[in-house]
Amino acid sequence: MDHLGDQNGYLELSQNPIRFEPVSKVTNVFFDDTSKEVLSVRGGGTLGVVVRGIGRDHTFRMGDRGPISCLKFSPDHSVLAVQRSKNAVELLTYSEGEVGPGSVQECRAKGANLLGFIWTHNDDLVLVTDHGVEFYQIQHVAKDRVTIRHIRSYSLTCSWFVWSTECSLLLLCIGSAPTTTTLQPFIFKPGQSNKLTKFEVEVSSGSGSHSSGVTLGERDVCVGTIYGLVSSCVLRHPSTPTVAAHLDVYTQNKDGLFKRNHICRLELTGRFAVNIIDSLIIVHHQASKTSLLFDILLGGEVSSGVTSVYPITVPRSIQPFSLVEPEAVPSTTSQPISLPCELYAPTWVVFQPDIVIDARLGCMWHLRLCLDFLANAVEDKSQLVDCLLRRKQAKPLVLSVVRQVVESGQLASLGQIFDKINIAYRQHLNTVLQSQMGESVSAPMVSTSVPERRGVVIEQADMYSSVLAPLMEEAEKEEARQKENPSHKGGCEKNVSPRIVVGVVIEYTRSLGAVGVTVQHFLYELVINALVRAHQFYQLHQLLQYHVLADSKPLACLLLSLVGVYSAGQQLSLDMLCRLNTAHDEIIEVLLSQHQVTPALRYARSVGLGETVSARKFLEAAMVSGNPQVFYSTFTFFVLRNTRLRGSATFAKGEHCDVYVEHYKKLFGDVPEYGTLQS
Amino acid sequence: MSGENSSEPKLLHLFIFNANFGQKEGHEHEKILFYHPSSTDIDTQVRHVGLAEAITRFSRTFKKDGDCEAVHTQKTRQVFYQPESDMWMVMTVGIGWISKMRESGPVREYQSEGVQDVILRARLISLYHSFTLQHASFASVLTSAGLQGLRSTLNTFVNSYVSSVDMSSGDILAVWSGVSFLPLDRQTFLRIHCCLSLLQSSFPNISHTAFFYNHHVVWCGLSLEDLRSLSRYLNDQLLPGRLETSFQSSSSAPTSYLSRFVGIGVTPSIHIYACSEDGDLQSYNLLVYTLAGATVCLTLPEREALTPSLYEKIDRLLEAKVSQLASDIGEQINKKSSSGTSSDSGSSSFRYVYHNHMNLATKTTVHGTNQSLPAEVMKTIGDMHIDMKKCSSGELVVKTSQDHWVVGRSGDGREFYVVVSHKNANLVEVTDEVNRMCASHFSNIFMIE
Repeated sequence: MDHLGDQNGYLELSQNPIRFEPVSKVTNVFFDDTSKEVLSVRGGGTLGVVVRGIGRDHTFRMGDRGPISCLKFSPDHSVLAVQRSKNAVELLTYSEGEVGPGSVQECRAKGANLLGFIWTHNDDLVLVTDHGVEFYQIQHVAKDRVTIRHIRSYSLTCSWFVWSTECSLLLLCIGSAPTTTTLQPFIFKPGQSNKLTKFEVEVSSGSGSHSSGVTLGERDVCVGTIYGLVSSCVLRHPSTPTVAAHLDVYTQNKDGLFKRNHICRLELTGRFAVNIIDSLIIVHHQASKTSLLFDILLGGEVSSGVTSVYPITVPRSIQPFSLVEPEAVPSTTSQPISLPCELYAPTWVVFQPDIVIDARLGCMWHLRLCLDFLANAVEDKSQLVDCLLRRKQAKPLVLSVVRQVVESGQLASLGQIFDKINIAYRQHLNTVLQSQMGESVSAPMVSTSVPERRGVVIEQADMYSSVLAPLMEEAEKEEARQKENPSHKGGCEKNVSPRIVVGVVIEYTRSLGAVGVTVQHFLYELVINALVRAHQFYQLHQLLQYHVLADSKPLACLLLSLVGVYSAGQQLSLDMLCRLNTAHDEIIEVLLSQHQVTPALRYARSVGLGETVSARKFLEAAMVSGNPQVFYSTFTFFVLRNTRLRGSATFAKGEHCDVYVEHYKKLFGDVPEYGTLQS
Repeated sequence: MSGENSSEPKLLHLFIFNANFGQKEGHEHEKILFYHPSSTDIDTQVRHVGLAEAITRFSRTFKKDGDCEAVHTQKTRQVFYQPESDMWMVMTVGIGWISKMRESGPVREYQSEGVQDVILRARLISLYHSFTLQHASFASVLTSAGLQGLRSTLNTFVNSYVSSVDMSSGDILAVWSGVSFLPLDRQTFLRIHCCLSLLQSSFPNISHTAFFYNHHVVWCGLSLEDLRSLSRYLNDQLLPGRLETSFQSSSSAPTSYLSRFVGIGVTPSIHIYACSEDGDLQSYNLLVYTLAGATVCLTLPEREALTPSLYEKIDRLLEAKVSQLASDIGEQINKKSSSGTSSDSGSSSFRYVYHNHMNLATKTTVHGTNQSLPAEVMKTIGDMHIDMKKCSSGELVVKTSQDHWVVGRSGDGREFYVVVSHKNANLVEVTDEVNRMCASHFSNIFMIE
């Protein structure tokens, strides 16, 4: 594996990196992780400050009043905070490339050294010193001055800190014992600061007795959101080189406490850098120039409440990246030369959540996941789907993985895959249902406590259109091919038979049923079509017998249409209509079409339709049946009905029954009058 | 003193002959393909066969649209079945009798109503279908193995069949020759189906699969007629002996995969003929895998080689899944029987037998319970069946001499008989009772009335 990347890497650098002036004798480069922009300061600001970020690109100048150790814009870019001394921050007004005069804010703690400052929100500034945390709010930004108000101070001894803009979380290192280090988290909201319960982290992954020399630094800690929960990842370097490094994940629970729940087994030693993208923990290893991907929910062995997590698959390098440098090209060639970049360079700095900066090259990239390559690399497709279902944009990929599994005939893992997909589907349906119920009761604050986590939801229609229907088409094509060229039978490698389609769809239905989701009609239709195509009528019958295919009128009609090829179709259809209990008319129609006039009439009477059914329909069927006895009883039934309803044997004019009266007369003579009967 | 000496109906002769063979005088014995009992001397055999042939030829003059079905004599009943042209199967059953004392001394009274043609013929037909399951047809054995081959095949086959099946008795179930589907919930059924499709996709050579639990069918990939024969074969011949041996061996030695396959040797299989997916008859090797009451049948085309490693692989795939399924099914049955006892069989005063010709489903509460119905009732049902067959749908109500009411209903391929044992009930009450029973037990099917 060379240092220029792996074509099949699971990660890529964004195509258009943000370029900035690299570090040099006259240029200092600062990264502001609140606004994710790079500031290049030339000649202490007198030669200009270049601000580069996504959608932001401007330059300004400012006076040189000593070396700048840090500078950061407030998120709305109205104030520029510059640190030049050990204990004070200058706050300068900024508007449209002009830096105004400002005020100086010194640390309130006596003799404190400023470790850094953070814009937690537009008007909120936090100074972190070795004596504690000071929280300020911008009062007023006038043209020439910035008024600032002290809100709160926390007094703590602090050696370094880590800030996460995404989580608004500040972690302070407030003390260290031989094997542990104590971290103090703070959480910030606009105008508010909140000190949380401190927690201890283990420092070394060695045996623990003699871990001297290994200390936790800010480089070893990163904070991000993993599956909606604020988590801090702590690298544990080994005390002895024979032991591999670990990455401990401390997750904030409901009470705001950080607890170690997962250990990512890195199985490597050396320098690491961590990104958290789409809830995946990505650990870059510089020595091997590879990146490891961890999904903490994939699980592993659990010991005393802590789950050991292993990489999803083998580590690979980031995909190769070439920088196009048009200006570096001599004018003789018109083609711009693309220069391959060195990956995992020592000059790389990684910031949360997905930023990689090469300060010497002057590039800032966003790291992106290439799930397609991940999908190809993972052997265990069930685990792969499990992982992909929790990713944001992976729906088409999940479907294509399913299709791949189906076509390769790995039905064993298919069941598990469907189960995983449908458990996610069920959860989605539940939340939809809850939110609908919540709306109707108009309780808006329902699920604020539950972190919103939207993964991939694959509905039945998706599965149908992307996997099952194409599979059926494939089977049909296969069949047509075999019909054309029967000698090729068995010679084909990829054999998609209707039988396999049935197997797959039934597996999917089983999985849907296991989580209690109602199966939609088009899936049943697919099963029936495949079975009919394979002439497996008896098998269809068995599926209906065990109520695998849910009753419905369309399904009953479909079965009825099979009568020509499968004689039990009528029985199945009638049973289904009977169970539906809303299909009396259909049942009567079916019976009449089979010339079973008397049973039809009995049925009509038994369901209370005897008074209302159309006489003409029955008489017509009775006449067509050619059986005079049947015609006689049918006719008599209606004559009696006429007598009962209207006091006369004659049919109403609108019933159009003259033909049948004539027919009766021809067969049996005059129509008798029955007189008035009791109703 | 009446029942001092009595006899049940018993099988006297069973023979198969080809009317085209042995046309010349003196060569009549060539007609005979099989004769039971084999100890009968050849002259008697020839005489019986000759008489039977004569009857069939004579009756043909009168009956255009079918064969002679049965001949009644005082002491015997002879039934005929011509499964293939000129191939006749004939069975003679001695009628049961009771010896009664008269003035002249003991007199045998023959109970001719104790023997029903329809049942005897059904036995012959089942025998033939069992034969075709393993040997396709008489004619095909004749062409492939010659006359001598056919004779010896028939000899081994029919003799072993007759020893395991009582040919001279039976009831309506023998006539229907249906199968009992195991009542299961949808999800368990789907799991079984998925297990089998996994098996089929892992071994694409497998043509059909079927799943049985005890004597009940759960799933069958074979055609309806094949299922009928297969289920008969498993329940009558293959599995009864199997269950005994497996219970003995289960406690001892660690069971190898072979112990779960029925048969002998390292690649146990049974040669059968069944309908292929295209609908024509093909020969297959049938593998029967049994585990904890569940039986998985699978067929492989004859050309596929059977190797021990194939068996081992199949076992590896099935063992855990099937034992899990079997225990789940067992649990479900126990739950059902414990919840059902109070409402179902305890209080109700009726019993029923049900059959659906469309899928062979048969249900019975007449058989297998503690108190069986009098033979008379079962005979009545058999007689009613013959009448019911004549019309497409209808209802028939009979009151037996022992005050049992039997209500038969049929329509749209279904047939069922309810026996109500209300001594003093009248027709209206019995009809109401049956309607109530239909509403509670058969609510999910449509019965044409």
